[in-house]
Amino acid sequence: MVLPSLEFLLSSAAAGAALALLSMGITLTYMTTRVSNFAHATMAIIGAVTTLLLLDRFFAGLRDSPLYYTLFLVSPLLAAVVTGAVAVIMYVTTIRPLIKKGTGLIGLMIATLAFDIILNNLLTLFLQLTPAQTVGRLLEANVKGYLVPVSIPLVGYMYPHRLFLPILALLVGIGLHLFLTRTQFGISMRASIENPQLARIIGINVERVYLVSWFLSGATAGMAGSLLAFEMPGISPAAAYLYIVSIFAGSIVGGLNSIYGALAGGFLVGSMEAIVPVFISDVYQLVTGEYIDLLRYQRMFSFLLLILVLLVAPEGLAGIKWRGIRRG
Amino acid sequence: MLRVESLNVGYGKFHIIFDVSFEVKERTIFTIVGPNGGGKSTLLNGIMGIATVFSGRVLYKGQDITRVPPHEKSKYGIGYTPQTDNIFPGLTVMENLMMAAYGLGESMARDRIEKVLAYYPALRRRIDAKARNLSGGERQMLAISMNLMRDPEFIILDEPTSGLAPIIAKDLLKRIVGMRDELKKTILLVEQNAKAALEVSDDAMLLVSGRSEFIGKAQALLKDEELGRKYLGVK
Amino acid sequence: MVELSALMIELGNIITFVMVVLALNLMAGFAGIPNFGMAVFVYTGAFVVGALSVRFALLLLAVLDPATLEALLNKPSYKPYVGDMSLVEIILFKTMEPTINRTLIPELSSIISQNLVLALSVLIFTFVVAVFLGVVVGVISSYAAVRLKEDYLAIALLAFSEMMVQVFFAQTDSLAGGRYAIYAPNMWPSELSSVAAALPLGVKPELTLGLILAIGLAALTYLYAERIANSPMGRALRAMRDDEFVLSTYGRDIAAMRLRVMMIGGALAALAGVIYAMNFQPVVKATDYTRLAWTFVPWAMMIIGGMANNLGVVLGAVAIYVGRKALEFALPELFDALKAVGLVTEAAAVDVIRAVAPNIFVGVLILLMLYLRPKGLVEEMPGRTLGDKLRELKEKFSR
Ligand SMILES: Nc1ncnc2c1ncn2[C@@H]1O[C@H](COP(=O)(O)OP(=O)(O)OP(=O)(O)O)[C@@H](O)[C@H]1O
Ligand SMILES: [Mg+2]
Repeated sequence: MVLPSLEFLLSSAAAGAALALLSMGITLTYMTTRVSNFAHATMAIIGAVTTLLLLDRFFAGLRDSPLYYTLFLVSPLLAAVVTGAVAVIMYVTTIRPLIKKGTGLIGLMIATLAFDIILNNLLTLFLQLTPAQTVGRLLEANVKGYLVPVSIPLVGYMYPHRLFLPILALLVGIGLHLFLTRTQFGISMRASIENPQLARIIGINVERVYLVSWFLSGATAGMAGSLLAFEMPGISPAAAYLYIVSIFAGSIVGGLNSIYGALAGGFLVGSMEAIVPVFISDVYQLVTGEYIDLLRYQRMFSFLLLILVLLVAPEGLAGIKWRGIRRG
Repeated sequence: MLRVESLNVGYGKFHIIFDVSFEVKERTIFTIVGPNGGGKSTLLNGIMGIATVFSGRVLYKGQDITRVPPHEKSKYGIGYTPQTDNIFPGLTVMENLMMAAYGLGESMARDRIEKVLAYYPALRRRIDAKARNLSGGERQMLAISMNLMRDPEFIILDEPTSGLAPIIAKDLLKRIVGMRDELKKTILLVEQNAKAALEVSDDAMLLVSGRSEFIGKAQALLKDEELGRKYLGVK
Repeated sequence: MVELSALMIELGNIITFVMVVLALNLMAGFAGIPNFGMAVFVYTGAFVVGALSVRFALLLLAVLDPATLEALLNKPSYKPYVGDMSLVEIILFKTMEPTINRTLIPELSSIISQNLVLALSVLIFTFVVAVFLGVVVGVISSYAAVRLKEDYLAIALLAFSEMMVQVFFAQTDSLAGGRYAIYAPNMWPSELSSVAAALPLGVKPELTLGLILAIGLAALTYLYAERIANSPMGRALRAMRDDEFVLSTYGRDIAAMRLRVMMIGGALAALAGVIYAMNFQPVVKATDYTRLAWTFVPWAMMIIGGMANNLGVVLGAVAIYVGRKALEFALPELFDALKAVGLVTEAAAVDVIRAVAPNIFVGVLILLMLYLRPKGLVEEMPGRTLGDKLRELKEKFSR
């Protein structure tokens, strides 16, 4: 399969789109509050769990109705509300008090790690306390259990969520762009990122801008997670521990100081992770006739990209460009 | 209009301003002069609540505003243009002005922007340019326009003429006088160009190493030969 | 009654954490390198024990006693896995195969214990290679450390550790077990074990030896960390952590110092991994060396004790370890009580709660510490350390 099928490309694009959303969210809170949020992947998993619960409890009854596919509208939105709220709680109870106290960058990172561990373990607890049957289904849920492939002209049969993820990422990207350039509040967000002190002086409530940025970050993580629920077989809280590295990779590849960069970087890293291992093992098989399974090393690729960007372009990331958005 | 009572200001644990008191009367220009690094900007930042106020009070129209958060101060009718980083370079001129009018309501914001552009026609030509592409003079115009957006009664300007060509600087100073005489504003000004500024000011303070060495009529400071020679390079 | 051997293993675990925390404190507390990738350092030591020592012992046996090796590896039950591979090939590629590993290691262990030369060689090999690899990982990390701003550095080190341990080694079965656990070989010669067996403890002599070794190493580590703290280098390191200006003035020297600290800290952490895998943990498995267990928990211990404070972090390690264990043991009791009152019905929940509660406990503790006592419970004296204080006291008394 050196020439990839359309289905494979679409599923890679879906993985890329999910990571684009997630990297964008991590970049957003980094740009506003200078916090590298290690709890971001767990928020995506919460979004996924919300969706699986919804499927199990609510949409299961709609199985044969056309309403079933409103799932792709309802669940990302609901997940977004849930994780947006979690992010706001995290910011208000943990991050903001520490920033006010003058905690340094590393201290804040440790705080997000600590919050992540609390959140992740609470999620584990929650999943285990829900009746056993559901847990089993939730943890092993994948596309096959819940979705029926639909026929799409030109493409043939495919799972619908794979289309929804890229569309959602695109919509969020466009929406965010409009928000940041066309609305007063969006522009004030950019202003607060550029120069929070001046923003305060001219009367912008920077604190509220930060709060909203955390909400948006959490909400987009929930949306991505919601659709990832179908893409990742066996969602579990533990998956977050590795996934966060890919999210950071996307964000850093995108420059960590640009929302559009993060969308692009996340898409690149996410789709590369899916495509490159398969491509290499296919080529290897073609040349040597032996099969090697590289897909289980797929997270290595995001890590290698991360290191490559950090070491090849340290100036671009750590240098001059950064000064402009550093908090006064 | 603005009274500062034995203010002590600094950044973190650095103590920079020591027991400074003064009063700015309505519709006057109060000018702070002094050598570089003397703490002039820090004092203004303390008044705005950006730097840390260790002790002392800031009264505005008799109200204690020392602990009012900076973004609330604009609602009191105080406009501040810092010495550096006083525009958003990544935003367009229009966006900068819109931000300065944040929360005013659309029609009023448009109205004000229109007024300001009439006052500074040069800005209108660059309205969609990113602010980082403006010339030094245009930047300063934009910064002061942003200050005026909310039609503040009390205007604080930190070295508005620095880095400007002499002719433009002179014009700007004239406009500041115009703000007092025609627009009926009260102005707290920090100026490097001491002589020119003091000539048009009502009251003045000389700030050296964080302490006030002189407070009084601007003319008196201008005439004080010893202080003038020592700190201001005035002959 | 809790068994003595169980207590000794817990003590060994604590000592492992003490060493890891002291090493982390050198890197993060003194040198200001936010090492969020501590797990890979510890795993390096465990990897040497589980994967390299075994192969080294077998290769050495090929030279010392080929007949025994032949008998050891030439088993019909291994045939399906090894085919007609040569002995060296089997040693290199097949010793981590779970079926082979499970029978091979106990047999190898008893051969090692009967052969003084082999045992000592394997012991020395293990320690030398662990130190060497620990230094290598330290050098790699400090390569990043001189190039990256602190938050990037933290992310890069975390990513490095996760990728190496949780992806690469965890997925490469033939290298070090990967998805399957592998067994740690015994390295003690019978000459030593019989001495330890003479002690009236009633525990496995190897455990006694391991614990003695662990205590010795931890004590040396502590003395070394204190010496660093009191040296001009330690002072410079602390100054550099607190003041960017010093960093820019002495940039060169400090880069060299950071390199040294990362090398030494790396070696110490790898040694901790060795004593842990060798003595206190029956199996070696990459996925056990998680970021939570070997990076986050040590950070928590360090923060509780106060960064750059050697005594403080040792106390922090003991406190957090004991606290987590206490929770694990107390929770079932609590549950029984709740069940008696009728508040809980699910018996299965106990296991989950036992698994998550100690983690939530450290998480909450960290947040509280960051907020209430960011400098730790035992605050660091500026420019002074415990050593200084003791010296002052001594002077006072001698007068
Ligand atoms: N953010 C800051 N943190 C710590 N110290 C600062 C900070 N900003 C300024 N300083 C210090 O405060 C002192 C006073 O600086 P300030 O800018 O207030 O002086 P100034 O009188 O406005 O000088 P200039 O005429 O150059 O504008 C200086 O020693 C400066 O180094
Ligand atoms: Mg100044």
